[in-house]
Amino acid sequence: MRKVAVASYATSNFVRNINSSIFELACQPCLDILKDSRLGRDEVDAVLFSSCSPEQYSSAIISEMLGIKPKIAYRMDNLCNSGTNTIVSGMSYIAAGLCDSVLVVGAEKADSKANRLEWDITRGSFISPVYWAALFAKAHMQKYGTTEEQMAMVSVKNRKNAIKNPSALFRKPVTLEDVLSSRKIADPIKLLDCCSTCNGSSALLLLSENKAKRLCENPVWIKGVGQRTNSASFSKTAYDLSSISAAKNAARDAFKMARLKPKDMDIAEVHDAFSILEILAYEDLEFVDKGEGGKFVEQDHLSINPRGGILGCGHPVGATGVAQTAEIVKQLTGNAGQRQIKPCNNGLVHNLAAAGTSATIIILGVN
Amino acid sequence: MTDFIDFIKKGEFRITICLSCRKKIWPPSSFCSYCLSKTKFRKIKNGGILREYVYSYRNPDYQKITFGIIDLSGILLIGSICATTVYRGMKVKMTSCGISPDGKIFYHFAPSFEKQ
Repeated sequence: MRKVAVASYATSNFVRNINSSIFELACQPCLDILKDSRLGRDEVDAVLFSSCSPEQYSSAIISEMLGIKPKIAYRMDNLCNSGTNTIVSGMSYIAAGLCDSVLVVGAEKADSKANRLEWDITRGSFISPVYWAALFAKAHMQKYGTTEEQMAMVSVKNRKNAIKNPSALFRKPVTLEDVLSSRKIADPIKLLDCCSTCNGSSALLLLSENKAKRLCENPVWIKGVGQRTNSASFSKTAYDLSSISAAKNAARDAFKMARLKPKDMDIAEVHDAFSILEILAYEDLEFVDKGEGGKFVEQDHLSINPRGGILGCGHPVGATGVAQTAEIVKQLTGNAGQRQIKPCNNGLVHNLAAAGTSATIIILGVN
Repeated sequence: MTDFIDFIKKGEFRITICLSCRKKIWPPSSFCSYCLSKTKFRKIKNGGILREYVYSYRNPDYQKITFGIIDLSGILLIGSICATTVYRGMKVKMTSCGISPDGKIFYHFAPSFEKQ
């Protein structure tokens, strides 16, 4: 299998209101990448678009707008997991020798219907994601003694980290009291335990080893990936509400492929659409033992979600996985400015979709 | 899925059962996800066990609504619970199901004192 590098990245500002079309939004970070890259547009072999927006033929439209005539162009829709799934697809083309350069772009408008899976009739009238997240939270509290304060600390930490991220939707801190006293949505989840959907886009340029060495000064390598899809309906995941098995198994696959262990990670971007999900991620990624996730957040680990996570940055669904990966690359290349974590050699991206029915883990490193 | 909606519109809760391996297929499908054989809609017992529950306030009047995940004869689904006291492991029964005016499917449960 050929090595695959992330050669460059760009992320738009994540905002509530926007006038541009999904195509203009998607092109925004691509323009930054293409203007700065020494790669000619005629050398881009594939344009893969991650989005849950229903517009037809979107990847071909984006390619045309950018003046690219790729061999391969299509859109991927896998709800919140779309971005990371698309990166793994792009990586696969290069690893298999079918492409040398792949432009991955994720974009979503705030009014996208991507935040709910209408098909899932097992959720009855409780179709919004906050309901399954509340069930996970309640079960974790009951089984392991996780507290509402510990969940609130995740929001406080990630909102604090987002202050240093100019692309983030939320740039103001919140206190523990703010989170705990915010409006109850589905007990124990409160308003400030929840992310906000928004408009945003992010893009990555993936290159083969030969091209990366020729065109890129500091390539970051994709060292391991893991993907699992257990089901689509919540009913199949809900037999164990104390962990997300798709993430757990995808992480094991990714660590095995990378020949690394959880303790080797210096930094991680984890899916925190609801604060409880970050606590579950600590455990599913084996950063801590099962049940210890609540205590882990009390230790103020700045190396988790340094861009502000989904809670701080907002959640343009199709762009999230790409933006998470862009952040890890930014950190590993030492370009994260005020929010730079040191030392930083290996990083991990953890992303989920639809009640944790599917998950993707990507491990990146500088060597 | 169309048949399921037709039954639900009439207030009947039915799931599919595999005609070959007899497994319950939920959410319903015209074929079995285990052995890929054909399935048929059947009624199942309306009694179940509440595995976990939560109070929701996500409605225009900020009213407290109890909902939970219910094990209904081996399948799981989320429904609202109408009860003054709620606890994990509580025996419940489906009291109604249907489609609300806003187009959402609903399943309502209440405590059950029947032997299950």
